[in-house]
Amino acid sequence: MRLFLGRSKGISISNTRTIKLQLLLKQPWRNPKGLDLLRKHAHALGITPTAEGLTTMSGEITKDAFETLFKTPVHEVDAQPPGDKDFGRSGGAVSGDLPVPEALAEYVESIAVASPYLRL
Amino acid sequence: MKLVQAVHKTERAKRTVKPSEELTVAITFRRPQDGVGPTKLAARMSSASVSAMRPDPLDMDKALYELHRRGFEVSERGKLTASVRCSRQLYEKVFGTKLKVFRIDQTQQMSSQAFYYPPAEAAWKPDESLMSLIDDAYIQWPHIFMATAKKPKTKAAQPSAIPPEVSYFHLQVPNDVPRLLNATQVHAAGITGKGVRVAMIDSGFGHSHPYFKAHNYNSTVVLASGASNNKTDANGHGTGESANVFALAPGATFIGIKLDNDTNPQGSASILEGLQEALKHKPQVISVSLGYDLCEADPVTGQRTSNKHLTALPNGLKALEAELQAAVASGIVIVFSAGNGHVSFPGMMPEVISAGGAFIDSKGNMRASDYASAFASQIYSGRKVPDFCGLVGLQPHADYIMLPIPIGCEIDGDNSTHDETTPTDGWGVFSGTSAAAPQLAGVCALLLEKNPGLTPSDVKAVLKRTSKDVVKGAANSASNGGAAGLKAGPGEDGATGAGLVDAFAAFQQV
Repeated sequence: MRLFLGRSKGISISNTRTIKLQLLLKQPWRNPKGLDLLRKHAHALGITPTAEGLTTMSGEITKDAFETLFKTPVHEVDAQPPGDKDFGRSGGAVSGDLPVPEALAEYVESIAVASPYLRL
Repeated sequence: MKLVQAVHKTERAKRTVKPSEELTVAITFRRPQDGVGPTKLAARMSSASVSAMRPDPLDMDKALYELHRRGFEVSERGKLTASVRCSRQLYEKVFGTKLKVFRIDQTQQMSSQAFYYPPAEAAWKPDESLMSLIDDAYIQWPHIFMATAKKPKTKAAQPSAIPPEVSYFHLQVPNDVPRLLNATQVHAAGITGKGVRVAMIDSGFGHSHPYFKAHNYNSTVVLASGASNNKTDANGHGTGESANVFALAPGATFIGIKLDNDTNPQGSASILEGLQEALKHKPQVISVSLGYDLCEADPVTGQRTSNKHLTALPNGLKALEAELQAAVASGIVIVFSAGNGHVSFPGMMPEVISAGGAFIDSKGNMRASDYASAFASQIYSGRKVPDFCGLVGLQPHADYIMLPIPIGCEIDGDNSTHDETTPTDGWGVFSGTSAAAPQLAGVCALLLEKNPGLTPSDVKAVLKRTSKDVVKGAANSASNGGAAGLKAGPGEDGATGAGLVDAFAAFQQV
């Protein structure tokens, strides 16, 4: 998957830097009650909710907490300036597929790092 | 009364005994109802009556463009007047007069001690076509300093509301884009998207640019989680592309959702966070000129390792997919760019309007843009991208639409290497399917003003059946798995979908 125009290698992230996460609710919990419960359980795991929609919640977690929770590395990618095919890429982080933590398994269908995107 | 006590010749006076060859000229304009301007009005104006003298902003545009074309530099623009600069020779030529040097009492603390001005007996034979657009053009006298300045204050550089000239064919906002998408007739019918809430998710929105102010566009900018400063746009993408929304739907209620963090790019909001923020504002239309390129690639660097399309949506994008599906199901029309050679997601989702590109040249010939993506999705069976098109330029850079951007932003600098603008003029000539999405979003707003009951599928269906067929050209090969770009042809085709959107034809059917 090409989530961005890569002109830089991934670099490690300082332990206090936050990683943006995207959580998709399971079907029965796509409602205000589900979001309330998810917010509470996510917070207990070190995920700070930042925004929520109709079926999803966004959140942030420090790199330390991320690696403790998911036991997988995460790489920072730099923002990129405009190129021939696009008007630049946002900065952020990438990682492989993440397991849904047990404490969230009842409510969450999938969880992922929010990847950098292109300006088209 | 002497405003400043100065008994000797001031230092400034010593420096300004020669008049400046550059003149500052105040331009006044005619009001639309009867063509009378403030200098020709018999009655004295008051704060209560001055609003009746306000010219049509589009007429001001036209006049300033004509002045600019003749060599005048527009330095400032207000609601009733504009300031322009020019050489003495140019003023004499355009207004058919001969200027004379006037000198001022040198004991006064004036901005200049001598200046050019037409004497009472001077001829006055102005360029008639210009005078039909303006009320008058007065050379500004030097002003008196009310106090000695301790330190000159520097004003942040402001771009001009009038775009620079470039030597090649391109489109201008706000007029060319709606004209070619056949929206001018819709505007003439009084439909401008008024009251329709259009959210645009992008880098940022520098709407303090004089272009946006000059057109009195209605805009609110809010920050998605992690974004900073709702007044700035360090990249310029959102600012420039948003001019496409306003060109099509000047009356819409525009809600800009800024994603970028100017000082910490890693902390910028995700597209999902932008969407979640947008949903809070109850939009009827959402325009997004951002996306992901779903080809096989290095997982860390993001470099394409082949042109092979992914056949399943990566888990990391499933939350965004679900949120978009739910948003469309709730009745919001969502428009995404199809990509510029990218295998673009979410532009390939069946629920959204996928905005592709068609190019119209200086003679009105139309063809598929070879810059815009067109492909069959390997993830959503049967889904072909795009649905239909907006106006997009050609390779190599798609330099096609002159758009306002913050001075010195990334695009201002980067584009100046190929679009003939300068790195700090606050204008750029660009497009991409990033331009097509907000154009189509603007057209959607027009349809929703006329018929607020339209569902997202109604809107997509009517635009599809009324689009103008594009029969020539081919789309960007980079989006087609390494094969040649999909070709346009009679009827619906791979390159442009149903063709170029026809706002008036769609308007007549809703």
